[in-house]
Amino acid sequence: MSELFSELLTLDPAVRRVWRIKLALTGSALLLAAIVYDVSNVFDADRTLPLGLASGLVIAGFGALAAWVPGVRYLSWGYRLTGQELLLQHGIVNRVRTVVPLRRVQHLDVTQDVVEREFGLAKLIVHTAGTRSSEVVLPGLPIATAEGLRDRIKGYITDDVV
Amino acid sequence: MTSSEAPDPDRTVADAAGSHRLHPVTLVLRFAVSAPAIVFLLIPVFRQGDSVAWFNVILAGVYAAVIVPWLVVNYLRFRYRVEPGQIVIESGVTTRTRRSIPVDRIQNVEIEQQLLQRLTGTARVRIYTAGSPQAEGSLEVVSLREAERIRMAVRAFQKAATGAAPAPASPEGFAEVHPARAADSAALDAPSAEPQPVLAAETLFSMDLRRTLLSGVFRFSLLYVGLAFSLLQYWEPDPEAMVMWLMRGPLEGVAEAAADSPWATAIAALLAATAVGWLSGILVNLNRFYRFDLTLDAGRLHRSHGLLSKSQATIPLRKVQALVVRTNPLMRHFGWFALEAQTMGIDAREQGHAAVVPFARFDELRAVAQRIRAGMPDPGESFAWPDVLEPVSRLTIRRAFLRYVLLIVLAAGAVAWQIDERGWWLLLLVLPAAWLAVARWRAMGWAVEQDHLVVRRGVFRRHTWVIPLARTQVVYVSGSLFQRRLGLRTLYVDTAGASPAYGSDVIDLEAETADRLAATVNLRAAQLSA
Repeated sequence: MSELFSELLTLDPAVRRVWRIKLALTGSALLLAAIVYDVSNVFDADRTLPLGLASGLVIAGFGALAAWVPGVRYLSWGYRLTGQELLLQHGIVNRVRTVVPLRRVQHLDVTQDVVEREFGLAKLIVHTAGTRSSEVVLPGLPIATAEGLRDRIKGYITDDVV
Repeated sequence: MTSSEAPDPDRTVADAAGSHRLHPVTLVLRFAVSAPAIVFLLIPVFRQGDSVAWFNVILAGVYAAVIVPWLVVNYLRFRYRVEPGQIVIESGVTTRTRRSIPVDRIQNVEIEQQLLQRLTGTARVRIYTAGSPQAEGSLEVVSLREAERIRMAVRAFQKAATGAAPAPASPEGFAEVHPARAADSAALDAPSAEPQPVLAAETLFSMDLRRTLLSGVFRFSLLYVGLAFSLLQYWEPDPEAMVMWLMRGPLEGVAEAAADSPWATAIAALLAATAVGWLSGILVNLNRFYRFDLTLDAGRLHRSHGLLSKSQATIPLRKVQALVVRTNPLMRHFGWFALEAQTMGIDAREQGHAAVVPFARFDELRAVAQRIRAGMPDPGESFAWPDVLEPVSRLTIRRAFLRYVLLIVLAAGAVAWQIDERGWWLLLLVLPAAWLAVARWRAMGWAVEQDHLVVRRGVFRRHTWVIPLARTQVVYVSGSLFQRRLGLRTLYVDTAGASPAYGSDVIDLEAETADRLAATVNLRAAQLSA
């Protein structure tokens, strides 16, 4: 298993910026709620939180997350396509190594969301008949790489009905 | 339809293309279902005949004028037919839907008879495919013979398609187990008639009344008590009147005793609830598993059971992904186990796990499991049940105990701080927690035996999975921050139809063992499927 997971390929470094933007988007949604709380309680003498603390916490928290998490997550990711299987490794807190035998692949998707499209990145989604592995996601690939992987894996799909 | 089909007296109106309608009893049943609404509308009229109430009569009239034709048109528009490669169901009045279900995608044709359907000699047919967890097609009411005919037709087409599959069961073979089927199967097997060896269906497991009742003893559930209490709410008894009745009536002594000693009353009520839960569990279990019968015939398991609502299901052996042995501490103490077959798209209500042996001694269960395994298409004849399983790392005891202690301290602290000082006594729970942590480690075990991965886990819900390596989907090795610090990993071999909630994870293996095991599983799975 360990030898299988040597010489893994890394994702496209630009994926860090995609993750950073997505964290910032989540953060700004929360920030909006915090600002609403702060503004609506400006003249409240006995408010629970001091003025600006809620907004400040959200900004500081998500700032730290956006600065730190994408880089570490990027380092934790690795993948490799061997002749028989797709290998994935990822996770900061919980590190998971996944072996997807290509003969088990049911179908494949390449998807792009708005942010990813901006950076020319895509996700490869591999569907199998397994319960936890009904969707195995490989993010942060240049669109050409993702489509190349898809076309290579496509050749292995057997007409295997569960 | 094939031209050689035998004339069928139960045939409902059929057009030239061979389309069928549902059994006419459908109309009666649907009227019966909608009738309470009319009665409900008419209640005020019966009570007082003023002008407001007469409005309801008009409403009921309009209702009847709309609903009745609607039901009739709906009934007339619903048609189905069994074609050589597919089952076609057409339905809908305003929106016409035409659904074709390819026969080779059909996993199971389920025939179910609930009480009303048994009284009218009809059955409900549900068609399951692998693609969807719900039934892909449902024919609500057809005659029992028609239901059997559909099932046999699907089977005949599937057999013709695979070609190599074993012989369609001869009429004699079926007559031994299912006398009612003999006539239909004779008619239906005629098209594919070449001389086939006579294969009798083999009974793998059946339960007599005594065994069924005994199994109910272990199915204690407070669920039914809860149901009974929620039904009681609809009575809305007047508490004051009840108390008066209690004081005056013959129960006066009991009521006084209850008032004198509230603790004894609470215990008595608890005992009563337990007794009710126990009894109702036995009855529900009896209703469900009455005359449980599992037979193996031409590579398919046939299962039939039920008292009030009878159900029959077919599980093709090649669709079985894994076998699961279940037990709990009480059942294990008396030496009882249950066996389930993990499948995909066979029965939605059992969530991919079909009970094949609901209650048996381990030896009986092992015999059935080996018989099933031997009948599966990939190699597995030589599967021997492992005597001992490999333990996982002892560090798992420490990890589990720390987790429990953390939870207990949090709970005790919360209770002591918010509710009552005495909450700190909850800290005594660390003693049973220590026992549980050790029991959890003892319960966990794994083995690779003759190209099978065997995984056991759970103290209160003990499951043992037997996963043929050839059925491996995806292999996971994961390690949380804490596990990695101790050099531990969790191994999980994913299979189709595995339970999303309670999986066959081997938790806290030593890292090298986990890696080696994952590599072995992956390699053997690839070799076996090649």
